[in-house]
Amino acid sequence: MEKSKDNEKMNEIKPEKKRKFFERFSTFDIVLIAMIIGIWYALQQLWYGLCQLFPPIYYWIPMVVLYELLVLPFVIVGGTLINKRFTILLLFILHGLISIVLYGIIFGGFECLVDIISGAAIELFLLTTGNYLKRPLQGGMALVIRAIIYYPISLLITAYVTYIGYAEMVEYMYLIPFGLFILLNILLGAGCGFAGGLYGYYLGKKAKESI
Amino acid sequence: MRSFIQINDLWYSYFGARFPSIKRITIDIEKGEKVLVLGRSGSGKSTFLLCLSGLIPHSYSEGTMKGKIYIGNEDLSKVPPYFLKNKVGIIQQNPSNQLFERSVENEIAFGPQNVGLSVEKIQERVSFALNAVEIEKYADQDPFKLSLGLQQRVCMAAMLALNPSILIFDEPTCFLDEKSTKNFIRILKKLNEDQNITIIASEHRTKRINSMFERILVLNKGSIALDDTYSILKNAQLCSEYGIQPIESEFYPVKENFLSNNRNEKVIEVKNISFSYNGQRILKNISFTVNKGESIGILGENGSGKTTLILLLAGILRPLSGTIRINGKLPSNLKRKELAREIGVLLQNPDENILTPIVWTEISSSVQINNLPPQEKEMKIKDILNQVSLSGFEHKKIFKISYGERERVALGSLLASNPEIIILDEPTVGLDYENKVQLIKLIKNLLQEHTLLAISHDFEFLKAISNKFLVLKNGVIYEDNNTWMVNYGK
Amino acid sequence: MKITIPGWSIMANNSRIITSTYFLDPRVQIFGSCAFLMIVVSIKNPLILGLIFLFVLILWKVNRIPIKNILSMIKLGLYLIGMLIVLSTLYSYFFPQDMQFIPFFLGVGIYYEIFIVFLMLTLRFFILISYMILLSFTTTPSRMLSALRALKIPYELAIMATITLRFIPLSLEIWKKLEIVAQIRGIETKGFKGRLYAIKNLSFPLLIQTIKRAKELAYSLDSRAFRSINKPVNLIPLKFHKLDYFVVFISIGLFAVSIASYLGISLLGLLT
Repeated sequence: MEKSKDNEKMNEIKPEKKRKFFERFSTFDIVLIAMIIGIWYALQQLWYGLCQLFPPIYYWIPMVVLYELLVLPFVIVGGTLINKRFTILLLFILHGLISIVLYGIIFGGFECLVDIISGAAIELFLLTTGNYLKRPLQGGMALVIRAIIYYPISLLITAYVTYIGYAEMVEYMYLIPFGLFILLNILLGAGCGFAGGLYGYYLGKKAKESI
Repeated sequence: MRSFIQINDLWYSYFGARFPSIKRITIDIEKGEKVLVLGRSGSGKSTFLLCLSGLIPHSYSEGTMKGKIYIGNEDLSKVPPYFLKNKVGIIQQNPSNQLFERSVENEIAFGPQNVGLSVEKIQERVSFALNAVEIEKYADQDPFKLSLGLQQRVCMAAMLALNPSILIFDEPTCFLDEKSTKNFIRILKKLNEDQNITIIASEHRTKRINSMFERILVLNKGSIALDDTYSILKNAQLCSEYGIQPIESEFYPVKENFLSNNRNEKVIEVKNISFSYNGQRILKNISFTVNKGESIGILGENGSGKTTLILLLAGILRPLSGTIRINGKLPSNLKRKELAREIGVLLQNPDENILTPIVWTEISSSVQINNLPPQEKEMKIKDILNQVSLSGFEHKKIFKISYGERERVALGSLLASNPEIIILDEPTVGLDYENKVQLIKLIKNLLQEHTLLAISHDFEFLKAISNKFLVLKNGVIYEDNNTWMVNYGK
Repeated sequence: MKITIPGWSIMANNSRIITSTYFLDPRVQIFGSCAFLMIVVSIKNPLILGLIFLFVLILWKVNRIPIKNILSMIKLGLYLIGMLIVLSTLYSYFFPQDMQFIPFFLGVGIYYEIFIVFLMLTLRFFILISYMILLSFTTTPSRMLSALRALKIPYELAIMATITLRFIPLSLEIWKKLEIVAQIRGIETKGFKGRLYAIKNLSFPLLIQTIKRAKELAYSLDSRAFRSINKPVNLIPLKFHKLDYFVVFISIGLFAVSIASYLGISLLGLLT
């Protein structure tokens, strides 16, 4: 068995300077972020199974409540564990990218767009308040900001791009204007998101102190 | 002239640690040498191997390193290990945690890709690595669907694709059965002979792999206590001083008076059970009985269906055909709480059995204890901690104590339900010699009041705690005390 | 030895036959999907939508996608229409709407306008979902990631995406193991209460095991020179073929048609 003889070729290659955005993250941070998004998607499946136990007509209520309380806190967990600037943005960007790979450019593309906007807004909030995710309120408010951005944009895209007629269907089923439906989603999402963010912060802190 | 690997006065301290993990290590290792690193848990073996592999300080910077490591005249602290002329590769304990690609070929190609080789060169490297570890026929397969032994070979191939001169292994046979261990040693010998690769490995189970290592390094409290040939492993006193297993050690087998006198009552009755998973038959018409107070050792290769059998007995899975009775009752007819009182299972790897961060909360997470009044609860928890030799550990953080102590916490949380039958799945994996001895003592104490089933590749351990053996092979069970005891492992 | 096109999609059937759609460049698939979305959204004629849906089903047949994947969609559609009939009937008695009510029998019926909205909504829903399923069966995640790399996403993101996709089923496995541990301790994890308990109490150990795994994988990646250079060679080279150019040409046509429709230009009276 012969050893391949191109060690010389390998030794000509010099290490390159890392890309600026990724310079701040170690390999462990990168792998952990990737795995946390994996948990996010895995929990989504469990979350969906839980929602199916509810009467279907008011499906959207447990979907919002359980998602904000049980699934999204892992974003804050990731931010708390790694505790470096732009962690949350990277989490959301990766989540959007996975949506494109799994669900295609149509659904995944819109999800990615909304994720990037939410991630950027949360990042701006965390950078302006300082002490990146070192206070529980920051975790809570991060998910409130996400709810305020995510629900109106995604519902409007659903109603006027992907499923035209969705707005009329909602107005017909619940006898409320579509704008009020969006507002209810925002209020529910923000309220549960705040609680979820606090939970995520404390869960991340507990894990960090345990290891 | 420097030796191939030269370590000068190496020190390493983790941030916040009271004592350094590595202190004053100065050794030389020649090219092509095979070195076995031994020592009790916490002696600094893993840290030493991480320093030698270059991961400390290039990837892992949670401490301060002093001293120098030269590999072929290059300073390891200045040059990343994969850019050295003599490259270093490290393969850690659990092979499945080191894989992430969807095919074996891509996994192996990852390394050469990252050093900027062209597609043709990468193909050459992958081909070479597949041949070197004899896994050509698995090239297209998903590495996660392979056995642990093959996964480990994939990890080795992934390192070999970078043409290393040094290969480091951290407890390589930890999760492997006898057959996989023999194959691993054979391939290691071949790599060393054909390519003159320096092999450095750490291991607890000295009997398995000592035959190929000429040089033994024993670490104690971060320093090198002994640097000798493998003949020192025959000195039992010396070995016991440093917490390592001597070659000719034998655990005292369980004596009849350890076992309860009342062993006529059937507690487990398994009749003709079969189980399939994904269209594959795992268990075929298995039948056996276990009497109260017995201690049964179950042997079998990886993939023979041992874990499936445990899950069937614990009522987690249902057999396709046949019946299981625990104390005369069908597990499917019992509620979870009731079943927990009959049968308790400790799965492989204590970290996978732990649900909470603190010892106290872990023991009290059992339903039986959780519902007790506070004073009774406190007494019960202290009693259990005493039983598992962890008194005073009530408020310790579980993931900050040693591996052996975590194993006993997991056992304690199992005992909290006070099950009549205890099943242990590979309880000695990752344990050093001293912790194994302690575990055997603990188990012998439990045998008076409990019935035990233990699954393990560690035949000496089973001999020490079991009075009867079952062997699982190709989904069929064989019950024989003497023939299999003698022939198993040959 | 060749470098194989790696793995199969996590949603795909391992034994599927390779068809032409599979070999479309994923970049072309992305471009084609955008065009497809635009045309579906711009068409307001239910007949044309119906024909598009049939076309997608023909593509399913060509790519040998099992028809059972459509059954859940049909179930959802039937459920929705049933719910609409019930609501319409109730509204007709208690909250009469300013729409034409069409009775079926015994006072049960549906409002005509809402039925048309429902029809258009479900047709678009069926078309887009079945198209998404078609893509998932004919594109592996690796090829899709390769396409995104060609569209200049950073290499680190591509590897992170590979790790995530690999870790999704692994997290579920870890979760199942933790549920087994909880069950062995006498804790029920089935039913609503059990599942809520599981999600609340098993998140911590899931996290701890993830962190440990991440550490080991990070060491393994670092020892294999991860991030030593910024642009490693792409092992899945993508090349345009004649079929790709053909699909690009059709997609441009579809874009033109949908823009025309938005601008109110009616083509043969078919689109509006």
